[in-house]
Order: sequence, then structure tokens, then C-alpha cells
Amino acid sequence: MHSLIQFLLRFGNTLLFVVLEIIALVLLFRYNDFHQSIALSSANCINGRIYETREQVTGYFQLREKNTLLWQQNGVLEKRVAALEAALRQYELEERPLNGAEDFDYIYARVLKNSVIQLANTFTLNVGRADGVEPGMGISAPEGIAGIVSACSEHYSVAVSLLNVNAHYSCKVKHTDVVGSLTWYGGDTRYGLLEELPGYQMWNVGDTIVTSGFSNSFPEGLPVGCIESFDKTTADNFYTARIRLFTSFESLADVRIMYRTNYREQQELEEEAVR
Amino acid sequence: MNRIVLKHLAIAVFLVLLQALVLQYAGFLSFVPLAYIYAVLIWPTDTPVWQALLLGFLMGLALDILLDTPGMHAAATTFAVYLRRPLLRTFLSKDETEGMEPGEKSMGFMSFWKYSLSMIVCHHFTLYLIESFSWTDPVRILLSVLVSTVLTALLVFFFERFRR
Repeated sequence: MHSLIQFLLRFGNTLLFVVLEIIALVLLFRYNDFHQSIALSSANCINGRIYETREQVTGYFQLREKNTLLWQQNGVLEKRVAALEAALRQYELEERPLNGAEDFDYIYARVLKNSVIQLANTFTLNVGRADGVEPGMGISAPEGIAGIVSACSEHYSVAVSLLNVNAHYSCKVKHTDVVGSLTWYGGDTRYGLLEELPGYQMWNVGDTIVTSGFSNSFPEGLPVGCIESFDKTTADNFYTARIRLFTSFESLADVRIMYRTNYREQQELEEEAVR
Repeated sequence: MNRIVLKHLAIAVFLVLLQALVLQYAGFLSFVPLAYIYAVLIWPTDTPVWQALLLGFLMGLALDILLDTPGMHAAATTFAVYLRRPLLRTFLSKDETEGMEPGEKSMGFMSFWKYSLSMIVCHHFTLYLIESFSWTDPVRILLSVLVSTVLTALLVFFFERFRR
């Protein structure tokens, strides 16, 4: 007993240091488990409050730019509506059935907290389970896709940003079936890499990259970025393209969370299939 | 709890919030000042080591929760706190280390900055090393440590001007 006390007096601090470091490293290596539990993430309610207050202040900073952007986008959309209405009228005249209607719907959200300087970036949204958000749903900003919801509390959610070295997105070259895997390698927030592109000269520098629609998170054809340059990987016949991302992640503010309207049905079906 | 303890707790809370809400967005390219380490620098030298370790760990954990980084800041800050006493002993003689708050006035300009810069570099280096997990891009780690150290040191310099 005496020698134990002696030992603790002598090495107690080092012992405490080692224990604390082990706790920190356990958090680090089992991050995903903890992340799902949301208590230790920015989606818990105290953090949510803090960031909500911050956003109320900083939300005003870029209103002018955001407004201009939305105004321009509005113009583009109005043109599309006009074109589609004309097409619809044509269909109605010919009495053909209109199928393949959009089965995605939106939940509108604001970004409370955003990070772009880490390797595994995330952002926090002001909507949660109570608003119908669930992990796995895709998120798009006005300019292009932004990330995927990873955890939700009742009123807040955390999303994995596109700027995350652990995330991969299935994308394709617009108007073709050339599919690749989009990822990010840290550093410049304006560029990502589209890997595993087949090299059949079916694409070119300047081509637009859109979502492939192969994942449940995003519908097909959402804008992502455009090809800036490319490289041939040495090992195989695939190409890697440097993509200039459309979304400006530094000023992420208003986003839409996308969900399939028949999401639950599909999920139940898939669960049944696994059983 | 006496007034000195309360003061240092208040500084710790303030710097953690400043880091999470302001500094994290005030970076230069992808480098940020990590000025919360200043709270650790100025704890009185007679703070029991176990208290310092616990408080350092909690500060780091609070930041990890605020920034969604798993255990990174907790690990780095705990490590820096552990190095605090040996570093103080290196730059000061035995009788000088007794019961004072480290600062430019109490330690002298050179000693304080030798101590501060070694603490800052150790902290930042641990942090960026843990962030990148493996030694995939040593240049990026070293560059991040270098630029962040300069930014943090600037802020520490600024804080020292406002200290009574």
C-alpha cells in the first residue's frame, strides 16, 4: 500500500497524462462510432445554440453576393420553366403519358457552422430529424452539390462536406455515360479529383461534371464542376481529372437537402432483401 | 475557488469560443491561428500538474466537440501541457519558476518567447500530425505548422500588449 502511494506520488501525473492521451486517441480512432452518437458533435443542442447565434450575426455578411447569385439562378430557372411548359403543352396535345417525373423533394436548410481548412471537413445544418432529415441524404448548394448528411439530432444535423478526404461521390460527364469517382485530397477548396475515368476520348477539358444518380443521395444530373486538366494513372488505363468545383465552400449558406419521395419504401425493401 | 482560478477559467472559456467562432474562419489559405494555447501558456507555474492536465484536456475536448474533430485538439493540448513544466525549467532558473504567471513582464522578453514558441510549435506539430494521421505529406504538415505558428505567435504578441 505504502509503495503504491509512493508510486502514485511519483508517477501520478505521467499516468494521468497517458490516460488522457489514450482517451483522446480512442476518440480519434473510433470517430465514426462517436460521430453517429452525435453527443460529441456539433449537432448536440448546446453547440447547435452557440452556432445558431453565431450564424445570426455572420449570416448578413454575404447577403449581397448571395442575392445576386439567386437572382441569376432565378433567371436560368425561369427560362427552363418556360421551355418545359412549352414541351408539356406539346405532350398534352399529343396525349402522350408523362412519366419519369422528378421523385426527389427538398428540405431547405441554413448552414450554421462550416469548415474548409481540415482534411475531413464537415458542416452543421439548422434542421434535424424533426424536419424529416435522415443520415444519407444529399445536400446541394445553389451552385452545385455540397455534401451528405451524416448524423442528425432532433433539430440539427451534421454533414460530411464534399471537401472530405474520406468521401467519394459517383459522378459522370454530362450527356455521356462516362462515370468516375470524385474525391478531395486536401488543400485547395476549389478543386477536386475525378478518378477512374475511362480513356476513350469521350470527354474533354471544359466538360461539365454532374452527379451520376447511382447513389441514393443525389438524383442524376446535378452540377458538380468542370474538367480543368487531366492525368493518366500509370498503373492502368484510367484517367484522373482535376475538377473545378462549382460550389464555393468558403461561403456555404443556403442549402437544400434532397430526399426521394419514396425513400422509406425503398429502404424497407432493401432491409427486407438483406434479411 | 479563488479569484486567480476563476480568472484563468474565464480566459480558457473565452479563448475556446474565440477559436471556434472567429479564428477558425480567420485563416490565411488553409492555415489558422490556434490562439487558445495562450490560456495554457499563462497558467501560474505553481498550478498542480494534474489540474493543468485535466483542464488542458477539457479545453481540447470542448474544441473537438465544437469543431467536429475527434480527439485531435484534446490530444495535442494535453501533450503541450505535459511539456509545460520541463520547458519552463529549461528557460528559467529554479527560484524563478516559483509561483508566478508566465509573461513578458514576469519572465523577461527572451525567456518568455523561447518558452512560448517551443510550446506553440510542439502543440501545432502534434495537432497537424494527428490530423493527417500518417506521414503522407510531410511538406504540408511542416508548412501548416510553420504558418500557423507565425499566426498564433502574432496573436500571443497582441494579447501580451493588453496584459496588465
